[in-house]
Amino acid sequence: MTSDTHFVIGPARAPLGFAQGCALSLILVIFSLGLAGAQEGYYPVLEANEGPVSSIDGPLLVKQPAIVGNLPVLHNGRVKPLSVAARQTLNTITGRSTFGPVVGEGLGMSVSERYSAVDVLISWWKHPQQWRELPMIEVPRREVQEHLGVGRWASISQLQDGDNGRTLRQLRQEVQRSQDTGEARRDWNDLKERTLDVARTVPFAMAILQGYAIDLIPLIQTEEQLQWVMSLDHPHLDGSVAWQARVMEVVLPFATSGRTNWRELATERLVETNVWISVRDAALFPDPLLESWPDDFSLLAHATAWGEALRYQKADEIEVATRALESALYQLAEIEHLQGHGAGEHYPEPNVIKTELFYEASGIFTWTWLAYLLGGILSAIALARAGSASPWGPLLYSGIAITVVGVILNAFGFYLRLTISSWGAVTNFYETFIYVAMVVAILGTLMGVMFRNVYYVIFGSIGAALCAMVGEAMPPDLGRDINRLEPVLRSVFWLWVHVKVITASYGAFLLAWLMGLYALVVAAWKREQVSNATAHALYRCLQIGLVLMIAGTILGGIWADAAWGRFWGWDPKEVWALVIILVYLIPLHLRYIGAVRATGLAAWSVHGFASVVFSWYGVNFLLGAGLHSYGFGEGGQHIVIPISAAVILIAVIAQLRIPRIAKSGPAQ
Amino acid sequence: MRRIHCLVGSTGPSFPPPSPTCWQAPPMSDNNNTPVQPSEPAAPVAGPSGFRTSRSHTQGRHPLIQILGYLSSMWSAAIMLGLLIVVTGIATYYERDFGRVITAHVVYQSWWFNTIFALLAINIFGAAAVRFPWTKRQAGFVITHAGLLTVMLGFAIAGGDGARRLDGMLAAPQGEPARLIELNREVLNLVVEETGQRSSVAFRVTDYANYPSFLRYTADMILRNTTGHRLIHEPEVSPANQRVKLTEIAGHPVFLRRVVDTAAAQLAWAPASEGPSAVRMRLDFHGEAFGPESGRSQQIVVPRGQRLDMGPMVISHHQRTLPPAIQQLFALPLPEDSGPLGDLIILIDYEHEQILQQVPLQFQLNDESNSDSMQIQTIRDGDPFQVALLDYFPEVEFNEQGQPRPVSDEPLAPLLALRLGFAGDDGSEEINWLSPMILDGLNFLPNQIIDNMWVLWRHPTLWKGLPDQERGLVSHLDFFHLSNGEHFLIRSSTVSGVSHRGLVEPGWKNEANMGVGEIITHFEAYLPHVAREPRRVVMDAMMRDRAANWIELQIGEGPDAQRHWLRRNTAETLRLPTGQEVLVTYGRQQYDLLDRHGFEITLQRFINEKDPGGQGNATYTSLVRVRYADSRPAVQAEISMNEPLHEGGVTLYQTARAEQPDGTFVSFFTVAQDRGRPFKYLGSLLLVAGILTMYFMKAKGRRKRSPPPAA
Repeated sequence: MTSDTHFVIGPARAPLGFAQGCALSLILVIFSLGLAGAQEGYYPVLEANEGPVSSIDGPLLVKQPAIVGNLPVLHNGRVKPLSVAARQTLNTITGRSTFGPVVGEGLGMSVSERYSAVDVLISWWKHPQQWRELPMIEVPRREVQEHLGVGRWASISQLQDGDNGRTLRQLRQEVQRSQDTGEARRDWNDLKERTLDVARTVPFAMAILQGYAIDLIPLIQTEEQLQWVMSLDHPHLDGSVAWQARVMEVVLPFATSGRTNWRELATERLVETNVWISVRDAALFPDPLLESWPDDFSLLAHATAWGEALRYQKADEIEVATRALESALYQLAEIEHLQGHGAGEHYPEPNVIKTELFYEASGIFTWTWLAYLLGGILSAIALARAGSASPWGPLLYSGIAITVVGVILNAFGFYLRLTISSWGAVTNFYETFIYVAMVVAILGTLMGVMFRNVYYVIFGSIGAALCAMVGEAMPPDLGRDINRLEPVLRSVFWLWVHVKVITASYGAFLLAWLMGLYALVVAAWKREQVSNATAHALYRCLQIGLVLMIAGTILGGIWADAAWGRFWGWDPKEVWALVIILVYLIPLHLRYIGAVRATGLAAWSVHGFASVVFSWYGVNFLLGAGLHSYGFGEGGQHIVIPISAAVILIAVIAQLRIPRIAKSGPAQ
Repeated sequence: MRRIHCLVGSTGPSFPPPSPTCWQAPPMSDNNNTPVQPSEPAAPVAGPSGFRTSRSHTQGRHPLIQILGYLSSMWSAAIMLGLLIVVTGIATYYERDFGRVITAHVVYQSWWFNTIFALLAINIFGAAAVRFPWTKRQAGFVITHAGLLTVMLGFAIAGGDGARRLDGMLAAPQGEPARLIELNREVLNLVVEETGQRSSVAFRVTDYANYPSFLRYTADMILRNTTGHRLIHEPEVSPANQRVKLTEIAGHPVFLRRVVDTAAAQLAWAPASEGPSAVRMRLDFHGEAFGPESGRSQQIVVPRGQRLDMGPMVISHHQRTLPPAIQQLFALPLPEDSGPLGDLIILIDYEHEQILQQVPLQFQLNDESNSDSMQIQTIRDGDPFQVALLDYFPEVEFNEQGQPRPVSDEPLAPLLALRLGFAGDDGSEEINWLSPMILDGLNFLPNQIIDNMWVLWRHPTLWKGLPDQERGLVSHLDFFHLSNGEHFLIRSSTVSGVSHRGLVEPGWKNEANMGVGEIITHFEAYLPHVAREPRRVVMDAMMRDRAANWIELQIGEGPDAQRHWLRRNTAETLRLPTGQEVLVTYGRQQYDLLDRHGFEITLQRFINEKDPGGQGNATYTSLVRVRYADSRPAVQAEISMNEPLHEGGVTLYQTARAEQPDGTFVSFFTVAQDRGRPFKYLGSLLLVAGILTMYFMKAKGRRKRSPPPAA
């Protein structure tokens, strides 16, 4: 709560008045002092060795029945199957989605089989102390490994105790200080930025080991439960870390405010805050405080039984307990929700959980890019084999058909994500890639068939495959994991329209980029001009891209006017959309006076794409500023910049090899 | 490989219809048969699609129209677009570094940016105008250009920073009516009352602020990415004395000397050309006690006559000057057999000689009748000299073995109250007592008795440090000036005694260990003059607005000139040498919603729903009550993300919120008004219509000209 008391979502940063500023700083100080216990992130911090001592002898890792992974849990603001939560958690901490022989060896452990993320997560819950000593946190960067004196994987104890613990704690505190005061981080450098990633993982990993960060049951679902919470008179109140951190943090400011109606206000806020009971408090180490919690569906009893079954690891008992808990939890979706708020509103229908399980298992986007790639290769073979004859034969049609299958898979994947997240638009970096893949495939296929141009088909499919592959290769936290969405983006209609139109234009420019590059390289090889037919094909792509870009920018202006009261605000993403428009407007105009001809247009298609790359990737990852950069990313520049530079270099070399046309020379 | 041959082709530079044996794509443009002759301007130049340049349209006409022809040529359009690309691209970086408001001021609202825009508008206008009368085929082109011009008109109307556009922030604390918007414009206001008449002058401070120009920023960007050399160093300190004369009040010129954005909230001491002298120290903090500050250095400046209490470290820079002989007070060793109260050392400093007298304090402790006195025979030209112990306040007690130990864990200083006196010159027993003095057992500072006479009390325990106490809780640094210009420093600590006493020079270093942390003090420099100035801080680019801004005003000229620092959003009354008062306010310009737009709002409730689990924010909604200035009844309204409130011609949208300690909220709304909006919408509409028309016309032309391609 301390780090979250001030958010900025509009174009203008909140300019606090002097008096307000002073008051707010004071508030922040008082508030942070009051919550000193909760400073290390959101989770309550326990002493290093406070974790439960396992009474179980036996192997650390046990294979769990598959059904355990189907249990709906709350993780990262969304209810999802435990298997998905476990995979995401394992990925965040270890950088791996499963735990197999290779990783096991890296960890200095003899692991003979591959264990699923659920197996590992449950082992963490059961044996936190042993795991604390095992190297499980990934330290991906070599310079950070050297800095901290650890290997590729480090144990929590290596990172939490001694000098490393101090170093990492200081980094987190420096970031907190910077957030509180607004001052830039001092002496900040790349190494610290990289180390900060590790520093943030440590408390998270600790919380996970202790059973926090993954929740099971909404605390307030019924009026009765609300009354129970607000009675604030429970035995074991002080002993409950979760209660202190989650409930009292909300209620206390009101209770101490001296207002007569504080109860009413606190109740409202408590309902809005939507507190849940963690796996630890519900199942692993049942919180005695919750014994009197009104539990109409015996959720806690089922959860406790489930926790017991996991602890003693009897496969049949685990299955029975999981099923019982699962069906008890699914009843939550049917409760009449509290004043339209409350956790139940967010409790998904069982089929949504099943959809997510299917989506996870299907790997649908991998199939998608495989289909695109195959379609592209078949079409290319068709072209090569046709020689001087028309390539429009069965082979090409089957290539097109496979690409169409890819498009269908792609759209179906989108539909699945829509069902799971309930906001099915292009909302993050990853989704732009799989969406642009679909746009490129559709554009390429449609234009190819309409204009009987096989190059559209080939490059449409290959461009789509490339895009979807890049999306799949991205770190999952850039959007592959379906997570919560920024409130400002939860405006479904405009999100659909504005973002989709804008990103669709990227698809058209991408197609032109690939075709232009190919045309330039081939022309350089032949030492000839790029043909006019190619130029026309490119011209058409650029036109479509430009029209989409202009339309999308105007739609964005309308959205901005509706949401922010101004049509245009020189925000970086807006500016870069304008830059794209201007960049592609130049050749389309200079063409009229013959200043840009076929080869020039091909070259422009390649070089102009740099502006798209910057708008698409650079504004969020390199510039890192502005209203549109929801979730600044970082990294990737070691890949994106060299590739972009290499492509431009290839194009320049190709251009140099293409013979120049005498300026005044008449055309033949 | 026939395909590839077709792809690269070997036809000329123009765009003739592609050979049907190659790609079977119909031509996109209307008439691609005319070859290009761009370098022959004498004849009307036709482009690849029968295109005639603007210049060919205006040739031989009125010179002004010819100029328009040049300005609306394709090349000047390309140059303008290219310039815009470069400028706006770099401006996004400028914005990242200096924020939205400054970028708008330096780039988007600057004369040169507007010139580029105006030239582009002329180009767009000219391109269509010189081709008048238009053919039917040019409809799309004309509509598109008209649309662009309309959008640009909308920008021209809404642009600038004048009264036509409103962009500010309204803070609404829960339960209180809110009507004053803070604009992004910083204003300095001087209010003078002269012969009963109030007059005020206002200045826009941003105009005088010292931000790097766009060119300098661009050069810096190029240099730092190529050579690593930097032209701009953040925080950029504006040079002093770059003053601007604002006005004159009663014959006194008022200058704006400096504008400092992003600075700390408190003024700090910095080297100057006049003012008191100061010592500059650097403190290095190490250890757990300092949390995130551990491992960090802090530079501090202590001016003469000031005492800086930093908790574990107290640094005093004493005003008075001591005789060089004072060193002898501290040089004398403490005898082993000194009693529990230690000794007094008395120094008499004559020009030709110094007399040093060490007097063991032989009093009985716990003596109720403590007005004991003792005679010191010797000094002062043989005059008898008497010391009377008036009182002793022990904070250190002595155990049965006579060993001292502190009364508490954090002993305060034992105090000794003394009275000193001299026997009269007449040899009588009468003693002329001086007023009593209290000596502090902790601060081993020389006490002046009379003009040239000094006394130092050395409590044996505290002089050497308490047994079993290795650490000091509070460390004192006392910095003195000697009359010969040297600097003398005493470093002592609450419980570990005096660890340094002697001359110091820049470079001196001292370590003070507090157990849970250590402070290393470096005496860095002696500054002959310092003055209070804002200390610049580097802000996170996103949070620049949270920094303190200062301006320095100068009233009058010459040595009598007054200087004042004013922090943003403060007001101060300055007094002129004539006694006249000037009220100076400096802050964001305010704008009254109730007066200007006829309504005010009261935040009744702020709903901040969380995603399940209570971590992420799901909604931000302000429930407000709108009260009108006229007789209309008040209404309820809801402002949430993407759903602003349109009221009285302005738009209020949810921007930020801050939580108060009592759990209530302050909601922040951006208030915007865009009078250019109708033009922007109309222009956008025209633009889309124009593009569609162009497509339509081309498709129609194509259908007419060429038969559908063979299957």
